[in-house]
Amino acid sequence: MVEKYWKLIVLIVMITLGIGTFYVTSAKTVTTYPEFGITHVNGDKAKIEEVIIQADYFRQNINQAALITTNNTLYRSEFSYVERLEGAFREPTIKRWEKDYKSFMRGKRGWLDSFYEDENYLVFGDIKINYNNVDASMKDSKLYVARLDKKTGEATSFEVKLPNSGEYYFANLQDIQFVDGKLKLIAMNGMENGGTAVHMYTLDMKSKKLIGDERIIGPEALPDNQNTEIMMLGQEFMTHKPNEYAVFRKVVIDETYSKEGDYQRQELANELIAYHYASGKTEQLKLPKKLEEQGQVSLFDGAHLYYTTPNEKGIDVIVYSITNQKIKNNYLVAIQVGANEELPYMTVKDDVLYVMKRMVDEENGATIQAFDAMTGTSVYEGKIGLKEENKAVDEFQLYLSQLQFDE
Amino acid sequence: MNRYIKLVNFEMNRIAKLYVVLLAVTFVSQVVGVIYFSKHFLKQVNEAMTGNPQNRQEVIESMSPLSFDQVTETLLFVGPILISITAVAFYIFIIWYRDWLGKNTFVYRLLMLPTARINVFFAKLTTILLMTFGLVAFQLMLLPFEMKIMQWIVPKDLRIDASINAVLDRFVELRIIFPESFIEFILHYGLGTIIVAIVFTFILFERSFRWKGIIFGFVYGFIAFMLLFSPVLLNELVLNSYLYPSEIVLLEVVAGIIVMACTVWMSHYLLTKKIRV
Amino acid sequence: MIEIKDVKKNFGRKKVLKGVSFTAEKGEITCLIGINGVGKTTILNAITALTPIQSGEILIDGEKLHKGSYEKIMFIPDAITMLPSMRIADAMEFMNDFYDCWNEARAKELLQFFKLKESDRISDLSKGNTAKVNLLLGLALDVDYLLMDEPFSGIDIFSREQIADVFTSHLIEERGVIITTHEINDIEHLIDKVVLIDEGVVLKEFRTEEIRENEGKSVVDVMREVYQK
Repeated sequence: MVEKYWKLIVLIVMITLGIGTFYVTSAKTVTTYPEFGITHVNGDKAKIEEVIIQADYFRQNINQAALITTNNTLYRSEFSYVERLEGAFREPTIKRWEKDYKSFMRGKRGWLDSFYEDENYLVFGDIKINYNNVDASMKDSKLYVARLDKKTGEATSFEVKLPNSGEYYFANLQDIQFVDGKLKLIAMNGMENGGTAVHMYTLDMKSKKLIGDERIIGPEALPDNQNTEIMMLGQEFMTHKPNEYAVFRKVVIDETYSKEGDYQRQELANELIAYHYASGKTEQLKLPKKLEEQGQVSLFDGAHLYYTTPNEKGIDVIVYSITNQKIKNNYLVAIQVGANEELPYMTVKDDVLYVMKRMVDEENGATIQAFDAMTGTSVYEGKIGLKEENKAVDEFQLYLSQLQFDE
Repeated sequence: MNRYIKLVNFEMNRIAKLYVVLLAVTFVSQVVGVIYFSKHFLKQVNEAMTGNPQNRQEVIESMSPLSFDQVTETLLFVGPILISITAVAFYIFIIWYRDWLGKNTFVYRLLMLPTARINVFFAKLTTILLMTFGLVAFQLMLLPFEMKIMQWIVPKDLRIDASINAVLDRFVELRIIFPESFIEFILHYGLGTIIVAIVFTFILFERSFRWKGIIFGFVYGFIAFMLLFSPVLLNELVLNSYLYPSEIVLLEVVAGIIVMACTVWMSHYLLTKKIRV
Repeated sequence: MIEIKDVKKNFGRKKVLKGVSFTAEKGEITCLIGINGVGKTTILNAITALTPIQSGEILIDGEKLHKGSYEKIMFIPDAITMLPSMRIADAMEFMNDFYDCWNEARAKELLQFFKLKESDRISDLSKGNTAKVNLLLGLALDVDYLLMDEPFSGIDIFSREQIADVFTSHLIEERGVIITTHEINDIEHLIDKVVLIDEGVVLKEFRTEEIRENEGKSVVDVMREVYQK
């Protein structure tokens, strides 16, 4: 018997051993990545309870993305197949919605820009671009909105034609807000005949109709060698929240080639334009000279602009209120930034300014600090580093790229 | 011993010699590749040191150390894998046609065995799977050995030791063959099995109706693939991504089972009612 | 009894069998004779489900062919049916492995009878010995019916005599045999029944004994009558 089947038996044993060993041991090696954590130094621990640090771990030729929270580290390979499939690193807010409002979230996988959430409602907006096969325009494109009443679970949705869509060659949804029973969608539209326009579409939930198409920033007629670049300020994790203002930076650029063929790029204008959601007013911000000189704004929290500059004592922060069009405060965050060191990651959320150094290695940890965004008072300080039990790990680097907030 | 297992054993024995050659080629080519690449690396280090033999440390710092994933990118390493894939792909066809074509008409024997003819189908499918899994397992066992060889040749300060998974992570295409988790292994090779079964049915169409069968086979194959990928296609084209990725995978598994059942039934029908010697 | 009832078969547009009917009894040798060849092999293939038929019915002891039928009926084709790399012993082992009705003692007897060596490879065999191995593999099965396709064609005279001897031996006794041939001289005296086929139809079905006794004719006489009409 065995004599006759020995080849088959050998093969099956080899398959079981080879493949079996691989998957059994690879399940074990996953746990050999070191655990990182945030150790409390001082302040209110609650300020970083929601924080998730997106990081990349490098050791020799290993490179693994990871998520670090106050008490654990999750490496990409530690996520289950299903979690990886759904997107282990997507915004925690979207993960939460998909869990709580599974049915509403169907077909709405996107960025937080496309959502708005307050106590009562979760709103989703989308520009459904539909290229017409005959004349290759996007004239059949539509605006789509859906709203979920979080308390009753009732969902309403409708579609309207995107007005004048034949004139655009692209249309990107930038943000959606819900103000006084009306949906406000901001879109950046590329004009077929040149330039970019920012539109505010207002939709009435009751009548399910488009009731307004306002051009906040119009395309400008510019000479051939000039063009405008428009960018909306804001951070991924705040676009879905109720915001007071939408702020755009508009830059006019002059591009020339000298006789020698050298490329020259010159900024002719650089202005900030604010749109007030409640009143519907658009205004160009007249910044104080001090800020004009500062150059580009670093952060925007929906109502304030933050200008940050590192100096030898730390990071200088100027807070500018859009409502008053005045500098509200100017303070120093005492964080030492070395000459060759990359600037720390900074972000503002719920009136808290987070400052996180980016590099962790076998010798040095990084710090994460939180300040009152208005006054600069320290509210929390913590250290990001290896957990005690992992101190023996040799040479590695951990790069902290950004923060997520699991609300 | 039931006749299906006897048939599998029989089919395996038929390919055994060629299979061993395939394993041997993989072994020799990859081991030679590792040795050659490691020695070549050492030679480069030595050449860099000839100017100032004292300064080994400096040389080490200026050159990036050798890691096994560099070896995996060489032809001597990838070549045998590609040859193996090609060999199995060809054998999917040869395993049937060798019984019909040429002087030997072994198909008479196979079709007149006192067992359901679908067992012949299953035995050939199993043989293809065993061949594939055998190659995968062999490669997985060979990898740690090859890494050891590199460690013997290259001193510790000139190399980076990594796990198999770290090596595979840097060579994305290999992840198709050696997936990250066992679930993915099952899904990848499950899909592979269904595709081989569909190709088998295509071959049986051709063997039943000859020229006309090729057309029937293509039509059948097209329908089977559409059905197999219908969850993905419907979700993208009709449902506007209504389904979550995990739901699609689940539906794909269901679609896979349905398509597999249809293909087995169709092959059974062709083998019993339409086949020609 | 094997019953062939109105079997029709096309190859593309060509009608190969245009409604063939005949029967073959157990314990008798039935000979399918045809000049043009084509249809005879097709009939044997059809009986063992090696080729589909368009219409008609084939029954073996009143049953349609199923997987178990191959323990009851065996087709011995006019081709090499074992892998060329096999030795005769391997081929016998293969049969022993898969068939419950394999009769090892009979196989050994046949080896001696045909003067074949177990250690010979199939690929090295002469045409005559290949035919003998095919016969051996079929005859060593304790099946009720044997179908033989042209067992004498292209074979040397001594092999032919050996094979013909099989038909008078106990190896055939009690079994039903259907044999196709176009040269009946060697076996005319052995056959019980003749089915004359041409252009896909049965021209005449008769028992040799009746023809001999009642009309005093040989099979060849009848063939001449039928085909030269």
